[in-house]
Amino acid sequence: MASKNLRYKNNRIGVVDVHGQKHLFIEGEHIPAVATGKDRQFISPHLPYQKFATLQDLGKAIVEYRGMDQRKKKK
Amino acid sequence: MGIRKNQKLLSNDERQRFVAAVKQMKAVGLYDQYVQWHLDAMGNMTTDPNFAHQGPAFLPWHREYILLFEQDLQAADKSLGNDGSIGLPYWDWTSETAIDPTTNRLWADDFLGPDGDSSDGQRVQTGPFATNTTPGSENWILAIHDPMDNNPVDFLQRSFGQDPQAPTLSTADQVSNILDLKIYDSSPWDSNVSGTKSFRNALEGWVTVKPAGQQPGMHNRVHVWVGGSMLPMSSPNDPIFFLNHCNVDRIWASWQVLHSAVDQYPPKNGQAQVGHNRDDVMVPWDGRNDPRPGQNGQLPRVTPGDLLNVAPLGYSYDALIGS
Repeated sequence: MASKNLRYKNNRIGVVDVHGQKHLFIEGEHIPAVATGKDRQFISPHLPYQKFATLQDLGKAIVEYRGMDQRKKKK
Repeated sequence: MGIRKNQKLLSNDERQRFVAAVKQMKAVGLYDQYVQWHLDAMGNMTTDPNFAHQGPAFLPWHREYILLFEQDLQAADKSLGNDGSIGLPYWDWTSETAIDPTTNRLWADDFLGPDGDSSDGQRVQTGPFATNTTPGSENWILAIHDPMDNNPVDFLQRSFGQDPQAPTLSTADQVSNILDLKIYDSSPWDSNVSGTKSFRNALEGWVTVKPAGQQPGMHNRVHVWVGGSMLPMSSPNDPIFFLNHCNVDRIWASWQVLHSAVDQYPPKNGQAQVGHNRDDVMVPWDGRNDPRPGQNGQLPRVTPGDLLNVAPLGYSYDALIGS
């Protein structure tokens, strides 16, 4: 099991490879996503109108979307 | 016969009646049923079937969806003392691209309201759909949320053109190019069909479209460009959803006129995924009990094949494209 982690806007984004299948985690939460098509782009029910070249890109986009809420709640 | 108009051509009275009818639907719990139907139809997009997207039924599913919405809108208009003659307007996002409400009245405070405030969580601050949770003054509180969203907010959010995947909207040239496609859809009947073999996939927005290819494109691009509440599966929480899909339906109706001689809906007999074949009953329009407030009967049983001609459905558009 191999994993790659990065921090993005105070969120820990992790991509874990389990037996050749990659899984995305944001702050430990598993984010459902599937690779699709010949170019194996990722699509997730969290952002259902977009595809992403990598799980890291998907993770960053979800952080951005959720950031809208967090900015409000910090006020 | 109802005529669906370009939103920019609505009179002030028509604008006011549309907004009042939408808010009436929200007040009696009808509007939120449409948000729930959309959520339910999408499933989880990984292992469950998506009955409304990423397949040939994308266009007929939403045709039935906005038709029912329009009928409820007309009933709401009547309940407010009018004659119920309003139609669902469309937003031609190839030409009405300005975000300034003084230039593009789509976003004015007497209609859909403006962009969200970047200093306040992208919250829409003014207009009829600005959320207010103050007891006694409640307005447009989002009640139906994506079940995977662990911490949803109850207010409307927009973020025009801020997503790096969609800083602009699709163009008239791009719409013209997809209208040249002569095939409605092809195997594998999903979001991976080549753009040259699927008008549906191009209009849904999963493939790049010349000139200056963009992905997401068309319909998907509108969701991403508007941003905020239009991004998740609960996207009908923003009423602009319905004006986008009315335009998508208009583009499909235009294609049907331009290409009347080709197979209007090819997948049959289980070629495509469940719910997406020509004679499959679409979910949730499969005869189940109608969950809408005030409705005691069953929902209609509707197949994609039932929806391939708009005239019998009781509406038309003030202008199709290319004909």
